[in-house]
Amino acid sequence: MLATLLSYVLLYKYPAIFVITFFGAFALPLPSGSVLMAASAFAVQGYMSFPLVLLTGIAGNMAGDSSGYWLVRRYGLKVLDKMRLGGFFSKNRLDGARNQIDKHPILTIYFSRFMTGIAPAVNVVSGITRLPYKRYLLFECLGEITECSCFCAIGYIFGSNWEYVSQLSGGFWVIILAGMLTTFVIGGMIFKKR
Amino acid sequence: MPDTIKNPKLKKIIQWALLVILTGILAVSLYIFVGKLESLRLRGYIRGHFRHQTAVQKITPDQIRGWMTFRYVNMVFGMPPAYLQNSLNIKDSHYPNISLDALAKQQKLSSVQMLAKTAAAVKSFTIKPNP
Repeated sequence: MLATLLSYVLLYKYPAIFVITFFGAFALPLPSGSVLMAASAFAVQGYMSFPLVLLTGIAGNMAGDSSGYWLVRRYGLKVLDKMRLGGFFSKNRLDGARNQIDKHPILTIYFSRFMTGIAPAVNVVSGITRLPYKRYLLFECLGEITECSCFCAIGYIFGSNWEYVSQLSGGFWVIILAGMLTTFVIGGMIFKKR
Repeated sequence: MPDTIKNPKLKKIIQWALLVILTGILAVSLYIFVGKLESLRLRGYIRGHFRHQTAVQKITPDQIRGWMTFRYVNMVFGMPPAYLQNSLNIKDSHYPNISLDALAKQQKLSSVQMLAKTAAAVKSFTIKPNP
């Protein structure tokens, strides 16, 4: 699949990047991180503009996330009601879930951007619990800027050798996640003591 | 840590166990990551100083892939568009905005054959830039 997507990126450049990152963030399992890495490598070779690749990636991801959020916020409960699952999502449960996200936005919204499988789920939960959009957008935007910058930086540093190093990206996110959780546990222990 | 655990001793044990496990995962993943990174650096795949910049900008003919378009291949190897068109006898009107795989399908060639033909043409251009 990556090969086909890369052909589209070489043919249609920024609109292709936008569409791929949009649907990748929306819910489809597309390798948008690898596409950004490759596009940055093409930019290093002079085929594309690096700032435009980065900006298009961020815009596509943000648009995809926000579309998921609004779609679920508008129609999520109605669809669930039609599927006779509405009863499971009582007001108390939704309020509880929203309070948890509202309490830990960095842990839930910001860091979920780095995990392709989890980010759409967080968008759905944020939308269905009607988390204030401005609050969701702030952490979502910060998360996407960090994520896209990481992928683009890898493509920029490794250039035409991005294919050899795309295998590293899996390990990279494990380090980020483990580091984040370790910090969270240590922080919890220190602040509880005080 | 969830507030549902009332026993402070148990809570402390769980916290420390979590910390040890997470630190272990972090250390092992860092060790593997740095090892892979070092091996790539030794093989010259990482952009170092500016004098190495061209190494990451250029690709070799063996790195040409089926998903690449002719426009991209021409740009990366600094070839005039007409060169590959004549060498590979390309009649498609979409050239150079067509991928190697798409052209291979049109010409009823396998992807491997098309890659070999293109790589050979590029190699002969890099040896003799003005054919």
